[in-house]
Amino acid sequence: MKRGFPIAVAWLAAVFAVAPILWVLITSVTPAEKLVQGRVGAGFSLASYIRVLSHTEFPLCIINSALVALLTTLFTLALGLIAAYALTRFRVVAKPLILALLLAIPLFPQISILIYLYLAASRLGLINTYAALIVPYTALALPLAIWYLVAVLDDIPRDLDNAARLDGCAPLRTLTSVLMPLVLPSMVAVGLLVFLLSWNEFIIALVLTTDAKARTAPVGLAMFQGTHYIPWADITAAAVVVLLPVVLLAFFGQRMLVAGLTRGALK
Amino acid sequence: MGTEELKLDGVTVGYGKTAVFRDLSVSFSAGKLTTILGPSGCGKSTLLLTVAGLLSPREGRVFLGSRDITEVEPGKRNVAFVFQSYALYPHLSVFENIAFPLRVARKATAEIKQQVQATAELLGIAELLPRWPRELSGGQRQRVAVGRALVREPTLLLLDEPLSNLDAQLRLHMRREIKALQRRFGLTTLYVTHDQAEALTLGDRVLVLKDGEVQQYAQPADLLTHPANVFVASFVGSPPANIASAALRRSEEGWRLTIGEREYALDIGAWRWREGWPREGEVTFSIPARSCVLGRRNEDGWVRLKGEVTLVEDLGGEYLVSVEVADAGWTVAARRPPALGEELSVSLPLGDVRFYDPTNQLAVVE
Repeated sequence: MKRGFPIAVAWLAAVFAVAPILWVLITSVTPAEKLVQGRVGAGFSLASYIRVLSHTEFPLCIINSALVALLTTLFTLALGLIAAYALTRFRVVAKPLILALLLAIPLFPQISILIYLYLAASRLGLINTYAALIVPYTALALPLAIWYLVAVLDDIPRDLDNAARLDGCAPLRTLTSVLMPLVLPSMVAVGLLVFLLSWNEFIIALVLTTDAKARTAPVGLAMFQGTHYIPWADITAAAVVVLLPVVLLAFFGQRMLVAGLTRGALK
Repeated sequence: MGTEELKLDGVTVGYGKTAVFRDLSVSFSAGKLTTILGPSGCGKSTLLLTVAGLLSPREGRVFLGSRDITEVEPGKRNVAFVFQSYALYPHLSVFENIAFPLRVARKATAEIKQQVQATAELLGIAELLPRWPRELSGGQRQRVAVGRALVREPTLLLLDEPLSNLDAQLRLHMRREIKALQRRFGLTTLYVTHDQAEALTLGDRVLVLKDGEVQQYAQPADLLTHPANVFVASFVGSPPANIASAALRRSEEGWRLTIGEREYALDIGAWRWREGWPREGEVTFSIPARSCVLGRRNEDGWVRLKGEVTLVEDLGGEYLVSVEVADAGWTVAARRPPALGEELSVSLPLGDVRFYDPTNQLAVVE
């Protein structure tokens, strides 16, 4: 095969993926009055951004999203690491079953658990709180984290554990002082994925939040839509704002992601 | 650093049929270096892990001096362990690796610094302290591992095949160094190896293990001259002893031995036989490979056997000759190489022959 063809395919894929985002970006800086006329790209104005960020509840949604995603990531990593440590270092009854069950969780369509999540959250009085989101997000992200960290921890020779134990470390100290520093790149990689999953999640947040007190950015984005009128300028500006952290994280985390996710694959 | 005797009393490790040891009782003298020698899978590493507390015996007790340490956490046994893989912490500098046990013990920073420095100087690795494990050569890693073991002034030093990852020359060098260190501190030391040259040169005593059972526990020279059973004879020595079977017969002039087609008079006046021996019939015997010579020795006290040369290995100035003798493969050292396939005589001095009971393989002469 000539190299021209695969390169063309790569470009096509890139354009295919990026074009809608570019469209959104251009729309967001087009003055509203031009948009009404359907003239996307005519003129430049940041008015939509200013309006979205200062005259709506949208900034609150961003803060909610950031906190929820951050806490979800921290809980997932902490619980995932401890669980993976136990699964790789101790004799755990029915270990293969545990791992299989964890793998089964993401196989359920989220919509099928939504009603039960809602009922549970409402019984517990958690509707419209961070906890209502963090708990299911953590539960849904944990299988990924555990499976991944089990693989990574499994690669670390047990001699290191034994050395630490002989040097006087209790299991928790071995985990924090010896194993954690070694799996840190992998934890960052998993953390980035979990953060993004949580940041982008829509359906659960839509059902379990009722107003800007706990509403997350993707839901906030959807709420711009009025009954008779779609404020395209505001929606696209808000979309860009939501997209920005994702792009930044992906950009700066890219090397960590690749390094972390392929760790142990090439030894 | 203390010197304490280590004692295992009726120790069983593992379960049911997969038990690595059953009812093992052995003691290791204070301040001495004991090498534990055996083929892979004989349980020598398991023995070390049990002493360290990383494995718990199902039955039996482990004593360090007068202290029963069977239930004591590994970190509180004051036992130092050097792993075959060195097990250095990859994310810590050499200084922090050596300092690690002291940090866990919450020693004062100044004290840690002083102790790490002293240990590093002792091992000649002071200039490596700021470096990282991945930047070190095998020999340097080895020293760091020993440094981390010695820094907390252990009562007991355990080494699990510490030199097997080094090249031959360095291995020889480190061997002497470890011996010198051990002597200097008079540390009770267990040294696991599958390399008998290491075991014989390093050990004050050697514990030979096979399938979790003690085959012999003796000084290195005794292993070569007085193997306790056929396994030890055929395992220890470089090359190990040659084994074959013969027959004993009582005659009017005394005991006679039939090897091959010939019969020899045995001068056994001073021998201390085990109960039930000597007796007529089949007997297994061993003869150290280096006692055998190629060619005919016609003097009294020499046994002559016919054999065919199957392999000649050049060791540089010396040749190891494999000879098919009396239905067994023997190895004989020679100055001059015979031709492959050559029929020749192998002579062995009767005085160096040791006899074993063919039913249980145990030596029948003390």
